[in-house]
Amino acid sequence: MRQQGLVVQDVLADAEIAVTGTGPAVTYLLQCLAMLGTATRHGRLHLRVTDRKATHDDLAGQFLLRPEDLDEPLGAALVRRVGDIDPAVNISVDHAVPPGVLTVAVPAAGEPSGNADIWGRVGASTVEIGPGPVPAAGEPAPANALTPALACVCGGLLAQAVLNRLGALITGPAVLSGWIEERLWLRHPGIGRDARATRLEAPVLSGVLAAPDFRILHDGEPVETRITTVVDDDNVVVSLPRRPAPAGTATTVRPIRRIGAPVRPLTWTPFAASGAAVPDRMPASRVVMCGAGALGGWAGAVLAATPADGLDLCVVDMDGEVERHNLNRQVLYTGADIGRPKAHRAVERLAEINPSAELRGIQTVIDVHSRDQLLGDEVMLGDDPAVAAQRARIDELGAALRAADAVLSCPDNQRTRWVLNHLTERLGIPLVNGAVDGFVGRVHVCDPGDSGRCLVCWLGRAVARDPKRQSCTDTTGPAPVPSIVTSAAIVGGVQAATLIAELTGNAAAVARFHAFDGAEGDLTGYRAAGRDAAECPAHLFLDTTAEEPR
Amino acid sequence: MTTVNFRNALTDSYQQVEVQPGQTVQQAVEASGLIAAGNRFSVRDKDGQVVDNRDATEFAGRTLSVGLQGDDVVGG
Repeated sequence: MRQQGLVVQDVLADAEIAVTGTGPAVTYLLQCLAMLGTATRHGRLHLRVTDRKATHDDLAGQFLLRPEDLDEPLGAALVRRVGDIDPAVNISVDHAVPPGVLTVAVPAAGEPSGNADIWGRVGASTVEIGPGPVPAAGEPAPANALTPALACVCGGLLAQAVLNRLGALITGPAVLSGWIEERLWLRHPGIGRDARATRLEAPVLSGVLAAPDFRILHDGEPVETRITTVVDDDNVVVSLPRRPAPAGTATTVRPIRRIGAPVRPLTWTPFAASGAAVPDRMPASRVVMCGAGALGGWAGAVLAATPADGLDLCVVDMDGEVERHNLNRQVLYTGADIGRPKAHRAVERLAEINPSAELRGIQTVIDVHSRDQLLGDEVMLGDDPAVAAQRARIDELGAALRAADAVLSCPDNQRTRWVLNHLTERLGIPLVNGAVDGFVGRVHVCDPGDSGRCLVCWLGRAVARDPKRQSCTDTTGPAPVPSIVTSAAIVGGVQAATLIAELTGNAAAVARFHAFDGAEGDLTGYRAAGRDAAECPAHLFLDTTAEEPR
Repeated sequence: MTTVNFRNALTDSYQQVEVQPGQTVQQAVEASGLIAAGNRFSVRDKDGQVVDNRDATEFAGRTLSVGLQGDDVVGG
């Protein structure tokens, strides 16, 4: 599980949580809780929903419930769909919940508010979460084009609040792998640098790590482990002493947990200024989405679930196949998809969510070498069948880009972001960029038509030369990268919300930069500085050769 | 007099700050009052490199961008 460096899984597996209400965020919250592995051991999810059948309104703007759930008992349908995500989740419809259970309320308009430890509500253009008691609702906000994206953000924030409240977050050294033979990957700021500074071949872990509460235990007793490999400044491999292990002995890690914290009241909106008018439906829109992993999965699914007069979505992904370690946060895929081509499987799932959307999947790398071909400025030559196939993919993607209203940027590396930024600046269309790392996330809305900063204004020219992939795939970096569904749902939801705000004619009011800090329970949007006309877009075009990857 | 231009990426405020030898970039921003005391921030040069702990006088006459820490988030 790629989240094991971020949360204590046992705490989640044994958690007792009640979810009450049928507001728009309920399905997103349940998806996040299920993908986190909540209530998969001794715990239970108690679902307290009104005793009624699922309606068209329940099925709209979400992608947990399926069309065949219409007119089925709502509670039973939700239980069944959570089981589809992970059959190990203990979930049931329980109107009487044992005392002491952590209660999360997502009341719909008109539903009783009651008491809860954490509540979340979706308004016309806002998301609110806070600690109980649940405040009385004002005028009910009719669903509009932003409702699915706001519900996604709300569900993710509520699941993050559950993690924080349970005290499930790991602080201190993060274990990035299970035991591989006698070895274990560890990440901690400066641990590799400090290990090197000892000048010892294999320093004892406890002598390097200034975190005495972090323990590695063998049969319940602390065991002396040594740092045998320094991966980089912040990552090492530790090894157990070689000794015969009798059958039945166990080596375990006792991580340091962050103390459980009550949820902080939070209000978030994609807008930084008043005056935005959000229509009921998104106008007919053509979008190219690059990256169909964690962020792209959530953003793309929300976009497909958004009421629209037409959606043309081109999905691009460089990965060949869906892999098992994708499944803890990439919402478009299940275990049945492992080994299948990712971009095409994403399109199949998006078509289930929105059968009327025009969808295409393209598996290709977007790199600096294809930039001019994508703009139609260069033509790839060659008779080799592999070259011809790649030329066809680039031609298809180039046509989609040149016809697009906007680009959703969800890749796992900065160089691809730089290329996408170059393309959207040349084409004069908005780029909505997302990035995530553990419990930290960023969204940049770069709209040349709104004089917003481009991605190079934000991140500097160095991104053009940064090929590092921050991927869950072990083979693409020095160490496995921890990642979790809450950050993916929140940042992907923010991307979708800001994109929809752009596409509905509200660019002048959009908050162009959003920062998420899950450990602190914070999500803040800023209008941010406009572009400096003296620099942008000069930094893109005047010195292009200097920006080429070295 | 050596000055550096600091631009707050979040608010668009802009300030020309006199810097002293031996003063780091971060110290120069803190002394300028551009960022409210207690707020965590990071300073980048035009290339996107974090220059928080560099000597501020190295950037005489140049513009640096002040923003949130952790903007080098990469994953997707």
